[in-house]
Amino acid sequence: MAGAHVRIDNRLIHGQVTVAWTRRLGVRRLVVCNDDVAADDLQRMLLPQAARGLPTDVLTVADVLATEVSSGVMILAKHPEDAFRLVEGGLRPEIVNVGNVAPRPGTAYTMVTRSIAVTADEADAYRKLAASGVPLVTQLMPQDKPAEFVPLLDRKGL
Amino acid sequence: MLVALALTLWAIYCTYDGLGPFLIYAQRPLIAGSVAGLIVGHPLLGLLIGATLELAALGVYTYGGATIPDYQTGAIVGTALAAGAAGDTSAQVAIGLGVGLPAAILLSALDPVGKIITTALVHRADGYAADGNARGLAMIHWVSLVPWVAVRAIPTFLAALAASGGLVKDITASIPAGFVQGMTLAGALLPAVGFALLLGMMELSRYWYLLLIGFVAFAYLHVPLLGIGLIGVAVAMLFVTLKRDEPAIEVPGDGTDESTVDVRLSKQDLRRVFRRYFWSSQISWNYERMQALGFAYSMEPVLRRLYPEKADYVAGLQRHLQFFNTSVLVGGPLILGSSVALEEAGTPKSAASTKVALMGPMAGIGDTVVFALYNSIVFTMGASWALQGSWLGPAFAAVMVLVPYALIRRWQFGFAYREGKRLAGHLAAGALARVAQGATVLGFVVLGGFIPSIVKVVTTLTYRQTTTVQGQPVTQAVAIQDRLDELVPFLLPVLVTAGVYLLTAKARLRPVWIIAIVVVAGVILGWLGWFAPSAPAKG
Repeated sequence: MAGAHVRIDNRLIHGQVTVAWTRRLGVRRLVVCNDDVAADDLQRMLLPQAARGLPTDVLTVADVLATEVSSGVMILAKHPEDAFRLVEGGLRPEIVNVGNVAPRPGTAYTMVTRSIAVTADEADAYRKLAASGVPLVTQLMPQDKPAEFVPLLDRKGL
Repeated sequence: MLVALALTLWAIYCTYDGLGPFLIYAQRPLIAGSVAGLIVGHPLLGLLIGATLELAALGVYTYGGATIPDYQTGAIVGTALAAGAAGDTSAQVAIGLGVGLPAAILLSALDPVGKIITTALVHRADGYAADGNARGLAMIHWVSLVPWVAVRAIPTFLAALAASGGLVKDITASIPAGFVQGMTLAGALLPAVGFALLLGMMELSRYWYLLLIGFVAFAYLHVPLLGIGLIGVAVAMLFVTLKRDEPAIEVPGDGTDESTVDVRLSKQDLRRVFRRYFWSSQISWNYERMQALGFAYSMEPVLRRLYPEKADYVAGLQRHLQFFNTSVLVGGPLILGSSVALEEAGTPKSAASTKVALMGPMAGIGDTVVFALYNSIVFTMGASWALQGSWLGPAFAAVMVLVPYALIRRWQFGFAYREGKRLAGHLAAGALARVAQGATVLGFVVLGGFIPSIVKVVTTLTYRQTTTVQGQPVTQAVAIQDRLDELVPFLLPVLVTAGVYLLTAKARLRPVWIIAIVVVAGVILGWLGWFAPSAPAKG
């Protein structure tokens, strides 16, 4: 059985996701995965309202790993490390798509694409993830061509 | 030359309007084109070209950040060239569309250029924030408008200059009548693209049956568009009211008592914050931080008042210079008001975290309500009137944008500021989801009526039928369209829209390709004379 589609997107549930991606992938359930977000009552209540009627869970990384993730699920990882932890914890997603990664304060980052900031540590972790056999791409919108992510890192000298 | 300069100034205003105040949504082709028509002295051309592009563009104004065809420039340039072209109005409109559409698509390639330059500028703003230099911050914010404007104003100026030469007249004089006929059909078919893209964004599988209400009202009962809108409002209210008994979610309080907050901000401080946001929220939008600089610039007067210590003030500026993006008409002012309240309450940390918590969901809900539904309905009605040559069209759209959006922004800001921490409770009670659902229902009902009334196509083909009249065989030509009308009225517009929808949703073609296909098919079929926007007068 096919695994989940994991998208790294710090904006979580927004137009690109609800309008374009969920339809393209035939998503039946959204899972927002981040420990801080799951611990924040406000976000836990508001995010499902933004999902335009799709069932939505807001879970910690541990909770995601503890539940059975089937196809038709799109996991929105807020930060790259959420995705790294999911894969390290044994999740086998069908694909990991790096969507939006805004730079975070106090980090030394390089913009790899217009919407993706990567630090040196994250670059190593991305490589490790790709080496573990999980397809790692970046594809902002369904109409865009997916691009292998590791060669992009190489090109930026990360 | 004077006309070219006036058009350029208009293009500058249109761009600014769509990034800052959204007074009349001047970047939408209906408004941009109508005023361009006035400037070049051919108001009717502006109305017709602007309205046609508006209807083709409907589904592309969806979510922030995406690069979309530059229909604003397309409408202005198309109108300018059409005014300089030879021939009657329909020939001029055909030329305007023939130029405006490709121009809109090609010029969208310049859009990222503007956004990349502003990305570089935001780093300068970081430096000023670290120094606590509010003037520098403000300067960068407003300077960021320049690249945004330049990539639209310069092509407009060049094209307008070219249009004023006699060359356009010479070239266009040799355009065959068949092409004009074809382009007229293509223009009448283009709204199908807008409607199909719009349907692609909406929950068609859940609400498709609502389309029938609008369709029956228009096609069988001949209810005018405004009447269909009213039916839609009633149905939407029904949906929302029936769902109301769902239990509201309990919002856990965090123990802080808000009544102890001492008010340190004056009315004037609040007005300054709101005014800054209102007039310039997105003018420094860039790929890296998106609306962050606009938010920090808006918060600055409050931070200055609350933090006399320079280190705190700098920290405040930096706090609000972090990545931020949301829907600026519905959502943004709410978040701004709550940020101000939480900063005043002495809880800067929750100001920052509430901002992050709200921006995503508010973008999702706000964009749905603003772009997909309200604007689509208002601009479709406006464009349909403009296509009949009426100034009521753009005027209606402008007023319906100006007044409600100004009021709702003011209200959101005040409400969020007054409610402070309690805001979360109101939002969490499902109010937002209900508004979004009501708007979706309204959208479907209205679209059901829009499709047959605005997508215009009939077939002019006939077949020969031999009947026996009083024992004598009589052969006569029968219009296929008459037979179709007996079957189902407006069958062809519905089929065209459905076909385009399948191309977008199932074949997943890019909108640009779909527009190209529709235009080419329209030109060919119209040229051949098999189809036309409306039935020829019976003679």
